[in-house]
Amino acid sequence: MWHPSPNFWRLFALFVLCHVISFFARSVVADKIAPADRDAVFVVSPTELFFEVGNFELQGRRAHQQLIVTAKFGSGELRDLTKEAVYDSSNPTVVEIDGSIARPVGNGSAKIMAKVGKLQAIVDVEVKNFEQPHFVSFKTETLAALSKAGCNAGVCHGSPSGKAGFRLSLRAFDPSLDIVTLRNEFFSRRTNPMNPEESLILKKPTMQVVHGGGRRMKKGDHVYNVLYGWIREGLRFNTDNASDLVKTEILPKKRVLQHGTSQQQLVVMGHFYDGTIRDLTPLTVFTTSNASVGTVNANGLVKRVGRGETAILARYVHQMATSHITFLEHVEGFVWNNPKKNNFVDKHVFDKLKQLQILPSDLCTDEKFLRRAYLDTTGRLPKVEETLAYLNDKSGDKRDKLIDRLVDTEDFAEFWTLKWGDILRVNSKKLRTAGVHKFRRWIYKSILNDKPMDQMARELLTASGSVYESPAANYWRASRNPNDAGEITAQLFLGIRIQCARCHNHPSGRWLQDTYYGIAAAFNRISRQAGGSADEEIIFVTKSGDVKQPRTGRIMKVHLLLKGDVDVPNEQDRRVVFANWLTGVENPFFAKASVNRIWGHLLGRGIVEPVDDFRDSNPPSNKKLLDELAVQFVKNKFSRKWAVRAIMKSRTYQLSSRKNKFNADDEIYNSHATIRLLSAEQLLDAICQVTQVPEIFKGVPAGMRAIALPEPPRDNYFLKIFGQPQRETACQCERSNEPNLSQALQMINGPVHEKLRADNGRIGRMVKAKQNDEKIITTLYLSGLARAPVAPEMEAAKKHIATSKNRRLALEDIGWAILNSKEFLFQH
Amino acid sequence: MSENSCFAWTRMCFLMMFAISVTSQLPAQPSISLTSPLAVRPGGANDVKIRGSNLASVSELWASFPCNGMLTPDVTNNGKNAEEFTYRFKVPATTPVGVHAIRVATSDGASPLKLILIDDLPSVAQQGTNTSQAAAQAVSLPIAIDGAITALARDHYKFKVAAGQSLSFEVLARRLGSPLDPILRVVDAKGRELAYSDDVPGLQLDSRLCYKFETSGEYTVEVSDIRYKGGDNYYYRLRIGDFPCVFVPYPMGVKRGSMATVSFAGSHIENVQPVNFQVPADPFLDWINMGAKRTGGKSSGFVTLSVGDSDEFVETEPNDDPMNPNRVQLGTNINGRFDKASDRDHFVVTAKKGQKFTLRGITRRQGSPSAIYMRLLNSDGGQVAEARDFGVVDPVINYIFPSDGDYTLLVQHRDHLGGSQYAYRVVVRPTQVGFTLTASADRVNIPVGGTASVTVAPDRQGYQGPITVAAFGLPKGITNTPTVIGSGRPNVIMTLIAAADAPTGKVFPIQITGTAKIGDSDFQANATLSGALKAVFSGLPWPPQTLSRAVAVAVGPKPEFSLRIEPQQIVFGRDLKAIIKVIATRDKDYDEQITLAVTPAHNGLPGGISAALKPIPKGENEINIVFSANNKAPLGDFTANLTGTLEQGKEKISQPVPGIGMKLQRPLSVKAGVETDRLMRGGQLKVIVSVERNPSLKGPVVVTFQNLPKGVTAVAATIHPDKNEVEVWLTAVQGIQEKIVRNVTAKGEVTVGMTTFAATSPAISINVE
Repeated sequence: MWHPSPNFWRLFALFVLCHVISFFARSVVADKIAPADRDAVFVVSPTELFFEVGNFELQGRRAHQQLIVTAKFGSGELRDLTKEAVYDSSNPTVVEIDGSIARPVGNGSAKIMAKVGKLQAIVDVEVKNFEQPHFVSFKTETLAALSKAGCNAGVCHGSPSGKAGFRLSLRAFDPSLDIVTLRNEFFSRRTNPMNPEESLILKKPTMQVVHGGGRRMKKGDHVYNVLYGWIREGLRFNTDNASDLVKTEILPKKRVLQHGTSQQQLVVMGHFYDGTIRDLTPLTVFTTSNASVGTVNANGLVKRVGRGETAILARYVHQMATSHITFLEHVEGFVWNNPKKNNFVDKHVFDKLKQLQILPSDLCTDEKFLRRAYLDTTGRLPKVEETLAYLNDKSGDKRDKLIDRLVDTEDFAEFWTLKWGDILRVNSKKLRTAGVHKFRRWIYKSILNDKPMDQMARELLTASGSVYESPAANYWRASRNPNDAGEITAQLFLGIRIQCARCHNHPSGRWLQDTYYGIAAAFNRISRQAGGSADEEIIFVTKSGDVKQPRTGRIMKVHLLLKGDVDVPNEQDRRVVFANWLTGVENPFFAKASVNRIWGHLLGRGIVEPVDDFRDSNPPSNKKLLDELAVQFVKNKFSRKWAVRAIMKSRTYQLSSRKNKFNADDEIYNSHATIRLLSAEQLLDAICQVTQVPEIFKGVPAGMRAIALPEPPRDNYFLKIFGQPQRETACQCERSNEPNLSQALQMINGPVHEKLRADNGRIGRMVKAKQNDEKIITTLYLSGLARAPVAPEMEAAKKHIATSKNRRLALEDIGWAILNSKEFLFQH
Repeated sequence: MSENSCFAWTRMCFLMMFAISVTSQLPAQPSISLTSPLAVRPGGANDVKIRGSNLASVSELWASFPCNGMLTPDVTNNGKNAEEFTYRFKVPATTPVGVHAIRVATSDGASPLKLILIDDLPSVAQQGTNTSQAAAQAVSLPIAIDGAITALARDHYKFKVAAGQSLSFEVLARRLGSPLDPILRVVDAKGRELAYSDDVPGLQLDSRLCYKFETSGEYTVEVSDIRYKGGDNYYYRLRIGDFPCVFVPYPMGVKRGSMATVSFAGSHIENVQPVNFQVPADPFLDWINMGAKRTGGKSSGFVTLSVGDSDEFVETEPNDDPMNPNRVQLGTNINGRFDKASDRDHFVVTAKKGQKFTLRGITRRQGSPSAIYMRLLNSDGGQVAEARDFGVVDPVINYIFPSDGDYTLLVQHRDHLGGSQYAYRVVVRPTQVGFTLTASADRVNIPVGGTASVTVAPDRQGYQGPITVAAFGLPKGITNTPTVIGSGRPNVIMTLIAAADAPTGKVFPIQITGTAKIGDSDFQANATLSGALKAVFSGLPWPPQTLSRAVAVAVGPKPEFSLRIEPQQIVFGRDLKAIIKVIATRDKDYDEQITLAVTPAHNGLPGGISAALKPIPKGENEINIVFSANNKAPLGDFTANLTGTLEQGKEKISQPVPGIGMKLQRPLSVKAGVETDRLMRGGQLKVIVSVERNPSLKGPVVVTFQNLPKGVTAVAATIHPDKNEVEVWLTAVQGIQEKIVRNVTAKGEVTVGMTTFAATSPAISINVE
């Protein structure tokens, strides 16, 4: 017969205690609810019909135009009826309709009519140069065809070493390489102008010859025809009729599709240097940013999957265009409850929620708000006396007052210094010990004094002199070459990850290799010299030195995104030009990237997420909100504290993490607070605060909080396994939030255990001071969870003490249970 | 008593100390770790506790500032404690504020320099544990607090101010040789930071700030190390007062013997009046310490003024535009200031083709926060030379003007900073071929009857030849061995020898000087010791200029063994050898072998020269060391150094061998002489052939003639090893044709073993008649 040991009963008691706390903690972790009904029928009655692409020309016999017919309803709703419309050409000798595609037949003018019921729309068409030869353009068609077929993708022949002896430049970033590869390599068997059908470039992807990549096209496909035509025409690199593609445009750019509308046809129009505009849809590569909302097929047809928003990225060789599609659904029982809006943040968030029929959660309790506000601003839990004072405050504006107070504390500056220290790579490996302290102090002062973000960026980017006397110059000590500096600067201040473009054009962004080296050119003239004191370095700018684009060999001018190359006189510091542009009003990235980071810190997820990965294929979850935040941020002189206050004072920030049935699936639209594990430093500090046993870190004064450390300690296992970054990169992602088994072990047996048992700790001292059980239990709850225990919790705790032989051990058990509860471990 | 030698105690006192030192047999040299306070105040008696080690037999205290002094009376056992003594300084009231140094001597030698401030602020010591704001130490203003930071701690001092009161706060740590990297915070009663200072440019990582208090009340100033380091040696002096935050005088230099008006460059310098004064004509005065005080102020900031022999020009704005420069005579020093950010100062000089000039920027050396970027432009505006200032060495442009005309010196701040404190000076001098010298130590303690050494390194400027190095100001009983930095050599070790009767217990300031004959001129340079002082003062980048030549010599206890050599100089040459005898004098019980090693171990001997080193065997007192030169060895004068090391039990004792003079000469030279060049047909002509042998070359010289005309013969002759010349008769046959031959030479050959050394005389003429 099994006889449980005393230890078993202790563990069992702990399990019960945890269960009790977890039960109540569940109140803060909302359950998922069933998805809304997606099959409801919506009755429509359009009032107007129109073509998305107005009057157009068809140039040459190979021209075509995808037609999109949109119906407008009385409610203002727009619906794609391309599939349902009936088309007619006024002059079939000029233009004919193939499904929903217009194709030229001969030169001349015609009208195309689309009919849906009694409504019709008409568009004028002019066909030109039908009799002229219309050669395939290598740069704008052949390469696009290869991209469309996926031949030059990174996993196929676009990988650095190619595949099966065939290497193309990744997504056609190097046409000069590709033409040689296609024309000359492999004994010219890839392309055979004498007998195009025998070209391997056609036989393999059609599986006439074994192809590791499988079937990529069929005979007669548009892609096949373009490649066939190019080969047959003699593998021309430049053709008479070829004009450079200036930009692409996707239509419709934005569409909100109501319940019952399941698809939207897109068309991509190319604007060429010679002024012509052509339909590029068949050779455009389409991708969706959110496949759980909508998918897109090769022809640009977007289909509904679920409720929400998705961005459809249309990539045509180097050009990108994005269409934002919103799928709405009728949610049974949804009634907008018109929650109070505290400020513009709420307006934009609630507008979005209302549109998507997502109901925001209720306002969180004062206890939750207090804990959340402290953790988000200062990185620490409220002290017991702070909690009691706040909870006893009956004033109506106490939340605003608390926010205002917290944002002006030195604790705030310390916590946000940690965040900036991470991404500015403040570590002694890069900056040496003294440099770490001085740079950290500079960041701290900047945040404490709310140095405007544009000024802070400008000071960092243009810093010169001794890294000791001018600590901002440590930015350049950490970034020791122009490429690194360009990457770091783009990621930190523009929210752009441009690293890919070092080797090739960015595969999912609009940034070219030229862009990359153009940015690097701004930072190429920085030199370094040892200073007079130990480990001191002097940063200074020279008048010469250029960046060469490694592929083209071109000397790069300083490139300003969306503005272009600029000439900077040799006497001028190129960094100043770059910094002026970066922080100037014409730069659309800086303010957005800055406020998005702040939003991400406070809400647990950026409006663009990851917070430093702005790109067309990764759209903001609420563009209007981001735009407005950026505008207000600039108006408020780039004040970080203003942004924190504005966001925290919004109702959005103060929503409960408890979900309702209308927002159960939402993780991106801020309909409820996001639950997240405390960061490594927050957690360790919180444990120290609850137990009142400080962690001792080598080389800093006793009692220093983990968040105030000048750099990550090398020997603190707890911080390491909870994801503290070593500050090797400027990426927010270096801070890991992945759960692992070691974390659980640390919480069970690590510092938690030692600190709870310490005689000089909170429990030890309260026992010694002969405090009663209720007082100690309440204090533990208040210190760890910023709330008093509810009756069942108090009852369970008291019962545990009563049934234990050792009161001190039992109290430690209660403390242990609190520290291991989700309510303690998570920010909610 | 001289101005630079603070005092010599009474003879009785000295003798007593000496007696103590002998009986206690103190083996180690004195050193000062801390003075308390860290400053002395002009105009009164200052009792300063001097802490360190081996201080029990202190017999002299040397100071770099004018003072009288004595051991403070009525201090129990004062002067007998090895760890501290109290000294009473009396400094003239007119002594300006500034950083100075002291050192002490005992019978064991002199201590390293210790920096000390002359300060007009009263001093108070840190008391107890003031490591939190709650435990802040209360101080009355104005005041200077001497404290030391404990590791991981912050020191707090509280004080009261009136509304609207402005105060200056300054930490001297690095500038007093402390390793502390201070930060300074002023906080209000709630701990909110009002002002902060870390590394102020020009203050060598020290901190300083000025703050105006809006409201009256109690405030706290906090001092800590930014890296949280600390310890007893992390000392600091926190000055709080109404002193102006000055960096440098302006202009930064004045001409010797001139009437000068000097103002100050700095911040918060309202009500600080310029100073008019007659600059002393003293040719040895290079620097003047100056205090800067507000009208009616109670405390001073301090600066150092450079004194030179050239005219000084002071910039006049506006000169930002190259079309509107300041015109300056070439050779005049330039003083300027970056009044605003991105200021550009243009100075035009007129130069002649071929003129060589050196333009040296002076900033951090003198305490300026500036870091300059100098560019020399030709008349077309094209840059012909540039130099940047990194605060490690002075930025220098050496330039030979290629043509007559105007040239523009453009001076900018390297980082485009500006403000009233950003002053600079450009010293413009004709470039002189020569050298500068640095000495490796600020003091040399020589064991009585023994030797000590100091390394002297040249920075050669267009001169690669030999430099003779000597010490000046040595007292009777101390000599330096003849020392030569050989041609192209990077350094030399100068050995100092103390005779048995050399005076102990005293500090002798000396000057190490190098001389050389360059062209037709004698060139001389005095050694400086900035590198040595940097090491002594915890890596201080720019030690006080006033101490840059403060080498001291003192005599210590007799060594356990000493070494001498015979001869003092050896002469040899390529493929030759020379022997030197190293002779040891040992104390009883120190009979172990003495190993000998070349010093420095790497590159200690000129290329091509080697020494067959052997130890002086146990129990013996001398050994012969053979120096050899291969056939690529250089010629000329050199000094070589050996160090002897004796290990006896656990003791390991080293003594330098006196510098070995090495003269490397040609092995042989030959001369041929005739009384007349006329040689008659059938007659004879006497030729006297003389040789000069390298002393290391022994053996007979076989003489032959070359290029004799046909019909003229000479019998082979040999010069005996003991002789230096021989007569040789040339004989002409009767039928010889008349002829003048001008290239007849005599050749001498000496064969030693397998090696033959040969030399040929200059040509002589023979007229056959």
